[in-house]
Amino acid sequence: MLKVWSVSSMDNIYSITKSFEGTSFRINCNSGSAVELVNFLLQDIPSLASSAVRAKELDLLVVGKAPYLSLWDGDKKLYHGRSWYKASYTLINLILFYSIAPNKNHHAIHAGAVFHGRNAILLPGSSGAGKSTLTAWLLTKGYRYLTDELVMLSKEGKIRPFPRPISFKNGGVEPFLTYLDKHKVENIIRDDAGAMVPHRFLNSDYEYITPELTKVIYPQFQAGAKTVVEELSPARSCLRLLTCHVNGRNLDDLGIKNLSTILRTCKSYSLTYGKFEGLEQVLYDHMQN
Amino acid sequence: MQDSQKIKINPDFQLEEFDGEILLYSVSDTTAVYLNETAHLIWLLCHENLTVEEMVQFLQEKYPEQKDEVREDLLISLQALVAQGVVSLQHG
Repeated sequence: MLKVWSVSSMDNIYSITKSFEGTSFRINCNSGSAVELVNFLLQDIPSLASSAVRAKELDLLVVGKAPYLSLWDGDKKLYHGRSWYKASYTLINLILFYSIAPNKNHHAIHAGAVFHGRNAILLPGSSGAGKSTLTAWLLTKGYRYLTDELVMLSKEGKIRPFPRPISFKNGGVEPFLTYLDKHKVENIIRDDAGAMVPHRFLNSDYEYITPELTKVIYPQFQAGAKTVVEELSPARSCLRLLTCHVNGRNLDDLGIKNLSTILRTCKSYSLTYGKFEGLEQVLYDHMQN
Repeated sequence: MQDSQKIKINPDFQLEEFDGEILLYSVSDTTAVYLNETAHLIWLLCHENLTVEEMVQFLQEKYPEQKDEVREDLLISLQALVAQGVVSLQHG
């Protein structure tokens, strides 16, 4: 498939340059709609002057009346279709891939993260474990958003989060729509594939911070399950965290010695839950330690 | 598993020690294995060039009150270690 820029606006390519953990991206947009989408997704990622840096180039096109969205990495087409959610999800994943791949300084952990009181809480989990849902719910309870997808954990144990709109797959956003007024509902991305909700819509108290990790909670949603919290030893926590450790191969000893050191300073828990009712009290009780 | 078989340690695995717990990990296989205190003891025994029967006898002397359970527990642990690639069986 040819990459077709708008014929009438070959000169109107708008570039947005962003940087995350040492990797810079230049997203070339063919229209105001494409620019709006990039700004919606990457609002909290630091911007750079476009001409100032060498950056990974990506192209985002929004074309036609339908409209169709098209995402390109050079000559490689990564997405073409009408789902704003799928295009958004693909763009975010691409940025994360290019940020993680060369990183030899931090542990890239597939995890949500929130901040509350004096606790920076990591929520590691694979896709489908419920970390975005739990992150969103915690925001409605006053916890502050750090990320719902990826953390770069420094060797000193500081969380360096990747902030983005919270991503819900396949109807997962439904329970949270009650927290949004009509104006906000009209300003989320939502289609049959999923939804992306600006985290500020669930808790407007936000600033980009890099707190020191104090607690790790491994969530597992199971419909109908009783809420069970089990404290994990540092060894068991390390074993579980390794399953979410994305760039271990980049690090000496797979980063295990350093992760072990960090986890020895934290409390870790396994959380199984089937509903939110009663969860707040259970978590509150364990956050007091 | 036969009593006359000896256990061979996979040298790729490195050890990270916690309080009473062990994480073994292999950089080449990107594999990690959790050992509790008992499994750690068994793994240490695997370094001593003993047969399975000799391990049973050692553990029965060390834990006489659990003499009847030792063999089964040992075999289960060894099978788990073999399955995870931490050790392998040698013919005696």
